[in-house]
Amino acid sequence: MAARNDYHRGFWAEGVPFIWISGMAVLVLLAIVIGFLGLIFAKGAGHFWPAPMAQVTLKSGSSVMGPVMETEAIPHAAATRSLFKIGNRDVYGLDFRWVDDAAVEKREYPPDAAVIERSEYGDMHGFIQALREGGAVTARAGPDFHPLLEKKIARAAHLKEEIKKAADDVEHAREPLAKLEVDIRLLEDGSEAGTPEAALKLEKLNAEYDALALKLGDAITVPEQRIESLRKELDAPTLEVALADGQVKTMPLKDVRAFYLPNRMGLSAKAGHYLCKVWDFLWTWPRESNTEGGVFPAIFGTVMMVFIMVVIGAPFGVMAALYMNEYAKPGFFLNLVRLGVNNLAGVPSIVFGIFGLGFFIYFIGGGIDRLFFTDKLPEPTYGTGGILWASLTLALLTVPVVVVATLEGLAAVPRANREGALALGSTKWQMLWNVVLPNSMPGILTGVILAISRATGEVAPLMITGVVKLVAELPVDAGWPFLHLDRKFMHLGFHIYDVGFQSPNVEAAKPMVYTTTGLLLVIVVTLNLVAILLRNRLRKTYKGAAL
Amino acid sequence: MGSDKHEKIVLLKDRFARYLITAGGVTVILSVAAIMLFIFIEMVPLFYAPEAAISSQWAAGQRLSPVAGMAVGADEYRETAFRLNETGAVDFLSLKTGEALKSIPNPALAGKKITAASRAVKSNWIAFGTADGMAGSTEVRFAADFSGAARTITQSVRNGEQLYQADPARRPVRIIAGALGEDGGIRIAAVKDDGGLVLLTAGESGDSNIAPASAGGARITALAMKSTGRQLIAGAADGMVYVFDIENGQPRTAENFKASAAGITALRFLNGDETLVIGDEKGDVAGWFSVRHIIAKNGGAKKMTLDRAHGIVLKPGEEREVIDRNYAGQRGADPDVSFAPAGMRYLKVRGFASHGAAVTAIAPSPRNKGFVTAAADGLTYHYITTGKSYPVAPQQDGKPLVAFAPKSDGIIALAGDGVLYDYALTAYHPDVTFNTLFSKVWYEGYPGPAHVWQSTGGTDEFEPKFSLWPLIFGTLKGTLYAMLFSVPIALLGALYLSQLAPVRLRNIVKPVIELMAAIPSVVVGFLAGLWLSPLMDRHLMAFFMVLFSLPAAWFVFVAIMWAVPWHKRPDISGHYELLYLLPVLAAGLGLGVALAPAVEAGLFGGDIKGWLYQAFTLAYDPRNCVVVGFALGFAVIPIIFTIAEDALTAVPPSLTSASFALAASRWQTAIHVVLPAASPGIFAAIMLGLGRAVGETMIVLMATGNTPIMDWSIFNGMRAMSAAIAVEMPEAPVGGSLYRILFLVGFILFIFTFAINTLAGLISNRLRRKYSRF
Repeated sequence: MAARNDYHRGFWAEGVPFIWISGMAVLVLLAIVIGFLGLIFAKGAGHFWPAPMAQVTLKSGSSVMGPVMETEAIPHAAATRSLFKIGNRDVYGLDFRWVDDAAVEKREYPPDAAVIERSEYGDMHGFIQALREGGAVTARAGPDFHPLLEKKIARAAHLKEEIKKAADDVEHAREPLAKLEVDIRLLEDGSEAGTPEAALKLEKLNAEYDALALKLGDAITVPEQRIESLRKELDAPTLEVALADGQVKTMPLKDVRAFYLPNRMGLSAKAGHYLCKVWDFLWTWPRESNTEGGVFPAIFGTVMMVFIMVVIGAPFGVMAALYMNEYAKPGFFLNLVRLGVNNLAGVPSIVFGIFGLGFFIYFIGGGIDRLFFTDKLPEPTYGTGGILWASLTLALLTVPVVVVATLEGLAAVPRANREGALALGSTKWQMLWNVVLPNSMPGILTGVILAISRATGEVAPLMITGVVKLVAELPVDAGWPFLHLDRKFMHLGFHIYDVGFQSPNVEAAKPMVYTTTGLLLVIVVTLNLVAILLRNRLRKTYKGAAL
Repeated sequence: MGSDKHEKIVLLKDRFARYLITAGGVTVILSVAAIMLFIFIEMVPLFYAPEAAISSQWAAGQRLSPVAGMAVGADEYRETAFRLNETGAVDFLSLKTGEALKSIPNPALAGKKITAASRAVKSNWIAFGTADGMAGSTEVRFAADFSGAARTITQSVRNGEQLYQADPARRPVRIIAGALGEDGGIRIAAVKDDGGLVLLTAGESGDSNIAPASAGGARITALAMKSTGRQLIAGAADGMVYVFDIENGQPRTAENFKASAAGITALRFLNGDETLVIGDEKGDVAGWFSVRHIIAKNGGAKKMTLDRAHGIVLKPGEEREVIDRNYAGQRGADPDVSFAPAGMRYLKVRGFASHGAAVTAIAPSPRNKGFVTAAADGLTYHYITTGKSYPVAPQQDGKPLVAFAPKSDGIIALAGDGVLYDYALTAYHPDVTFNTLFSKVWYEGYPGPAHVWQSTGGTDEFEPKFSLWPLIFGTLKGTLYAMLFSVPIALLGALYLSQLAPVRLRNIVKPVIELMAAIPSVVVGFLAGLWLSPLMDRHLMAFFMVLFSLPAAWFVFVAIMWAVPWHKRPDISGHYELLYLLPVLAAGLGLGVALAPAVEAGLFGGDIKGWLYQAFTLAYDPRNCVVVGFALGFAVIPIIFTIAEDALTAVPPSLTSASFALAASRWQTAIHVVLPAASPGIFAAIMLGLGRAVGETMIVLMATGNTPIMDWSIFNGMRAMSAAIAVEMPEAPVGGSLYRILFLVGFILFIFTFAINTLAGLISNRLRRKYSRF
């Protein structure tokens, strides 16, 4: 009896139930993190996998076709419903449709159901029936139809390339003419317009223009004619597609980017398709207000921004750490600086953002414009958001990370090593360069990687220092001076915010957002894992040396 | 020799490295200081008082003909001023050289004398009345031409089509007010020599109509008309103000009220037509708003408190006219009270510093809600939002005339002695004072003083509302919910992991938490906004149920374990403790989710959101504080966890060993020995978490509706300071009030987080020193 009482008292007094509560807190934490990552990777990675196309005939007689996105219980009713991605935005107006499972007569997976990727209006779901050329049917659905179609689509893509090349040729050939046109227009509308000198000059220019046009003649007309004939060939073929509800749609073949029949695909075909789509996602530009296509400019912008940031920020971070640890006199002031740098890491990123906007963009950028780009004012060149200012802002934001990690690395270098070097007669710099810096490299690298990781995911300060939803040109291109630091750029993190929250069609954009999020997470998580490994190595290396 | 050279190079390198590193280090340190300084400097001009200084003054007679002036104004660049004189001619004067440029007479007024004139707010359109009872209008125009090397400004005058007979008896017009419609039609109100008031409406085609307005025989001493021509205000010598609705050209008395004990001498609507400024004989200046009223009737048998805050108590059967503070909306279902519309009523909202003499003229700024009043003792600049007055100029003899320059950057005044003054006005940020940022302000169109954040409204007729409280409140509210979620989980987790868990588990969990810290906040915000918020919208009941079912599952588990005799109880401490707890957690979650539909149907009529609204008038907003709490908590957990865990682990093993040696259990040691020892570190952890939650931007931006409201409801969104900066900064004009206020918000965030981090840093330093003894 006594033992039992003791036990019961002990059970509570020893706090066994409370241990369980705290254990559950750890479980919840683990569940949240794993669930979080799992959710994003599941949703993001699944997007490109060709899902089977279900065609359901409803009891009302109508028919819906598309992959089933999810099935859920209808609130307050004992029934379920399924979400179909019906595609054909141009016909139905929406991309998704809920279907009550009770209203379904039958569900089948027709082998000929095709997904047609178009350059506009998203995917088309239907049955490809025939290929027409100038009205006449040239091929009908049959055994050799699909390979022929693929060939035709490839041909159309080739034609588009050729047209683009020819158009470039025309533009290139016209360049001298275009220059003259600008001069002529300036004379006609400029401030000197109407004066006798201007009239004289105008006459001369016009004569020059006519002569040049005559001389260039063939160089322009030949590619122009070529464009015309190519266009004719491109515009001729049309595709006839029967939709699930019986409507027959005709569309120009040039709008088709690709097509596939998910219900006929085997595992290997699906895997191949998947890899192709992932490749496209990484290397092509976004389409349809960022809801489709790839994220290449966002990846490029992110990498470029981070690169500039590291090139500028990391040396300063390392120098500051070296100064604080090796050169500055210890004392109250140094402690103050240490505290300031440490605390800077906790200052909200948006505060760095407004500093970047006010100082870099309006103060420095505006000053550069007033000094060097007066002819373009009031149109700002550097006095507006751009990749340079965003990188500088993030460099400032991540300097404390580099400084703190470098300081840690410097402190881990054993005193004996330094003293050994000095005792052998090396100067301070020789000691730092040959002994301290190599040994604290893992620390510095850890800091740099953590800074990169932070900058990759940071969005708030970029929103006000130069990130945009879509760019026409990358910050690096073939045009002089090759590196355009004043250009605005795209960023993966901002892409997520923009597509997920400011897109006109959020529902259709969601899969893209999940995929982009997955990509961003892969980058950030990889960077962090590397940093953790490096740091562990640093700790292991100097555990022995410290003796 | 060679070795000498080598040595030199080595020393040179050493010196160079020293300078370079010092320079780099100092640069970084300076830039840290520069951030704080720069943000401060950008914010400070908010609190500068408006400044006015004479930029030029030109005496009458010397430059202008010595006849009386009736109205003044200037061009957009403050290069030329004009004066409409009593002969009807418009005289132009260069404000740079004082040279009289030209004088354009009005042929229709040959031989007549102007006795009253009134200029519009946003243009140089002037309505005037003559000594022989005629009324008309004229417009002074400035055209700027930039084609040459320098800007040239051409002045011209476009006189009204015709003069209208305001008084058939041809007696002088005493006071006049007018409005030019967008369709070119005009409305002019005139007070005749006999004190009678008439309203003249003329279309562009020349058709006109005159209607009398009755002010009950009072002697009218001032007039004002809305620039839309919809309302006419007349002030009388006995301090009464008469409001006429003149929308259809026929004056209809809307209300009249006693505005002052002294006679009204000047009336004017401010830019936007919302605020009426009244000046009186004694020199008092006041701003009046038109506020919607309703008649509330207590139809019940008991005394009813309609509004405790404003002391409105209705006796049974009592009917009273009160300001419409949305009582009808609040008491939708109450059958005892009924409401009837009572229309708009003018209320005195703000009084300003008084002049020492009768107010002779009021000139509203065409760009904002500022205005200048003129009296014999000088000019004063006032701002309606802040209620502040700033003296502009001293003594002006006689009845001075005054007008704003079109860009609101200057004031043109014509003193009674004929001297024309041009004042440069640097108003800085007249719409912002410490009070408008932090106290309740009664804004135009509102039923009473309130904290409102509404920074932009499209036109300059909009009154910006810059109360910082909604933003601070939003930040604190989001932070509070985040801390409520994150602190218990992070601290319990840290305690378990550092003191109770097997080492192998630590090696797994710690990197996981580090990864959690690395997850970009935009990802967390995206998932909260696009996944969690719709999920919670659909399964709100399940979320509530889990709050109960999880502790319930724990209780059941504890009860079972407690009931089992100790020798039969499985020993679940040690390596597999968490494996035993996993089913408990799963059962708690599963039970909550599974029971939710039944509970919702049984207790809440199948719709918990509807029930919440009916029972507590709690509206459910899908992007609400619970979502923010989870998401922001997710971002904060790793910080609190890591630092708290470090602090707990840093407690010297000698302490815990001593505790175990005295036969204390794991939990007893953790709670009574480790926790108190590490408590400063845990405090620091919470502080750092708080700092992160306060400054986090993307999560609050994406997971809340960004509505700047002040409401503690957990089902509402909010707008945090950081999100306000991110959203509004791109649209804020550089150097404007909003721009600087956002810098102020940034400054507050900076100071707050800096202080928190410093505090946390000092605490952990002390902790480290304390343990270095062991």
